[in-house]
Amino acid sequence: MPAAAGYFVVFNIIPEVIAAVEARSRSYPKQKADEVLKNARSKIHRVTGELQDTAYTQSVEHGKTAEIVFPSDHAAPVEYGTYKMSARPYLYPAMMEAEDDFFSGIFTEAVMRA
Amino acid sequence: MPDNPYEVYEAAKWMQALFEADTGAGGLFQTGNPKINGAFMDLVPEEVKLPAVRYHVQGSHSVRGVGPGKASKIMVKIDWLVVVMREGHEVTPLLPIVMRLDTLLEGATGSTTLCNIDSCVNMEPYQILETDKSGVQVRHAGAIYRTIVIPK
Repeated sequence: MPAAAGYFVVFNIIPEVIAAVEARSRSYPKQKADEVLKNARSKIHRVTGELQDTAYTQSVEHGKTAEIVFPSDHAAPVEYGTYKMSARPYLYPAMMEAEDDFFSGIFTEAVMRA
Repeated sequence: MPDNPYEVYEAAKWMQALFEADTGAGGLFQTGNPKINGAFMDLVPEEVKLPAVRYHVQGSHSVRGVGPGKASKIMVKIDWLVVVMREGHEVTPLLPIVMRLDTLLEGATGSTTLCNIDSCVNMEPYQILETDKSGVQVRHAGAIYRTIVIPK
């Protein structure tokens, strides 16, 4: 009689990973937004300092989303350019640099913790 | 000097050629009835009347393999802001041009002597109303496009 084929579950960490991802996803967006803001500030050509100094990050949706806010009137014209002024993007490049490791930042850390 | 200047200028050359070749019926530069007065990287020269297209690099990011120098560069993601501008508050007159730009760019591929442009996709729409110190309003409308550029 042939031996029954099958799988033996030896070790299941999936519930722990899910819990760790959930916990991590509430703190990581703000942490990442702070890093992006710091990088974006470093890319701004400082004139009066208003554009850099008034920027801030905030956590919304119980931490699952973070916003990077540039309240200065100069924010959009400098980032996107105008009819008579070339753009000097600061936020978009900082976001692009961060996008590759955003998800791995949540999942790798969560798996390591679990 | 932008990041990845070599790929940026090659992709810009490709994009400019794409616009300028659109001379058929309904094209940006339709013979005898152009929709725009020019397409320019970065700034529209002062002597050019609007509407005109401006485009610039909004950001770029390279993916590298092992090893130093240009040879290790696998691909470069370049995001472009491509907008048409016209004087005045209304956005509606710009929409046919925005649609035409999208028809040209979305899904386009191509090559220059030094690079292949493997893809071009619309990432998000963009529009803004600019008011200068004298009160003149200029409407900008278009989108951000992502090109994947592979050095040959």
